[in-house]
Amino acid sequence: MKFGVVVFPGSNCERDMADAVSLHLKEESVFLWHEDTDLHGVDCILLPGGFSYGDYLRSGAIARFSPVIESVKAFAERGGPVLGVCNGFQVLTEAHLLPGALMKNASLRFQCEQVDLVVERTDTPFSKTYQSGQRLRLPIAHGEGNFYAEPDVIRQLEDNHQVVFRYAEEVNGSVNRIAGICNARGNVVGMMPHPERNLWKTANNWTGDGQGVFDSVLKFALETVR
Amino acid sequence: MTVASEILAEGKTKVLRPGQDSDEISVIFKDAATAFNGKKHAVIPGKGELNARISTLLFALLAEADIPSCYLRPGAQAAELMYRRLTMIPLEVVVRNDAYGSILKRFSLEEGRPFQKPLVEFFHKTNDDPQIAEAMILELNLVPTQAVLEKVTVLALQINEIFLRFFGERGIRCADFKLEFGFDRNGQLMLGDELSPDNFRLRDILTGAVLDKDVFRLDLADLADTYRTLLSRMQASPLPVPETLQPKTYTAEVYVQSRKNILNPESKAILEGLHSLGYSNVQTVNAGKRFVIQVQSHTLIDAEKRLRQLAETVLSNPVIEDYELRLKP
Repeated sequence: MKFGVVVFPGSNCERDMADAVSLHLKEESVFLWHEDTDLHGVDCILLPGGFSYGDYLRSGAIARFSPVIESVKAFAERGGPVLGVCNGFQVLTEAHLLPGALMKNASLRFQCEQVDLVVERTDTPFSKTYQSGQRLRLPIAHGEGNFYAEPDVIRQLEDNHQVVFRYAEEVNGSVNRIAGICNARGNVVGMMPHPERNLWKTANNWTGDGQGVFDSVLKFALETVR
Repeated sequence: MTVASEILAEGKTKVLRPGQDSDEISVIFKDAATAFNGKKHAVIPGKGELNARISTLLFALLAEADIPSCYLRPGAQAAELMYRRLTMIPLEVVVRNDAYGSILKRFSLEEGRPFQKPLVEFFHKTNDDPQIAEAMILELNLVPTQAVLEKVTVLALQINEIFLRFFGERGIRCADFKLEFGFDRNGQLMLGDELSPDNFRLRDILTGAVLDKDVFRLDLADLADTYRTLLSRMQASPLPVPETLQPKTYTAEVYVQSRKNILNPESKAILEGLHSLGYSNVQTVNAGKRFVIQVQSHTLIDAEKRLRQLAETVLSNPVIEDYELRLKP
């Protein structure tokens, strides 16, 4: 299986994403430069964390107009699995691939800490190997992770079970403690916590809880082929 | 023809009646001409219909450029138009490209002298329609805010761009005209009143022939004949006019703020901070961003279109933010 990791000027988690693919999953990964429109035949797209174009305007606001995003949109429309982590999640909302927006944390601080999550949905390409209700411990590192959407959009998200991960406790002011969501079809997932930073035993506070996000893609691929 | 219903208002040249619903009015243009504040008047058969048809053409021209107006559709009678009901701003907004009319009495200018830039003047709709300065307009609360007055000025100049070009392509110089503005029931600012040669000065570019109400004011020719000539020239295909406009630099301010009912964490922190500093009477704070942007464009209409797109799609995120565009005329 071939994974594409999108690289914007300012991305800083793309190596960890690529390592998750090549060292953890033992699959092939390629970097997709933001000015490219060619997806090099990848089967899954990962948008890493960091910053994009400096995020001076709003996180992800400029990245959304980059040439690669047009290809990502077309890929998502064909049902291809797309994961955005942290800044990648912000880009997906700005690009309208996911609803809502990420505002400044209620604390107004950049929050870098370990948080507890509850898995709410286990049939997306990025949450298949988890159990419903399973608790995960993953790191967050963001200044703007405060998920907001209009009340009727939130109701729709909840009614359609589009909340994939929820913070176990209040973290950053997100409505309904939302930490990660998917689109209506379920193939596009965005999350603020960093699963790629909790894969290796050398990581601080290692639990291995991030592995499921990546393992799920392989399980999804096998099921899809069958 | 519908049964003549109650008259809402009757002026020197128009009769207003209620339309099909409470949001509409019927406007019938009378076969009457007046000048010098009503001192000179005459009945001119056919003039009402001509005014209605010329207005319709010009309103359609503005609609093509997305300029909002009161015009809805032609009425059942030839001299009738259906309008959206507006709450009018009591101002006459005069746009001048060349020096004619009342401005010659106020300044010693050669008649017909073109101005370097189009001039926008305001007159208060009271007894003698005196000219009124911006400060006085605000003092008398004739418009709700200064931003609205700026918007009126921008709209007047955008309409001028359209008319200058349209008439120019038909060999006619649009020297000056008068507009009035109002708000619809949703509070949207739009053009009201009529767009007839009663309110314009139009001159043949080559011969200088008068194609507006001045023929009646000055007894130059038959008014209905003149309006008929004008209408047929307006309906003719445009002549090729060389593009001589140089791009201009326009300045705009774009304000981006959290949408109402969304608690912006920064604003909340600032409010709490102000309270702890003893400013206990501060009730709300909404912090936002202000962008000062200069754009190069051939027209004010094009400049606004581009800025609006930029503000809507890039500078603000409509999920959490609203924007306000203030284009400097």
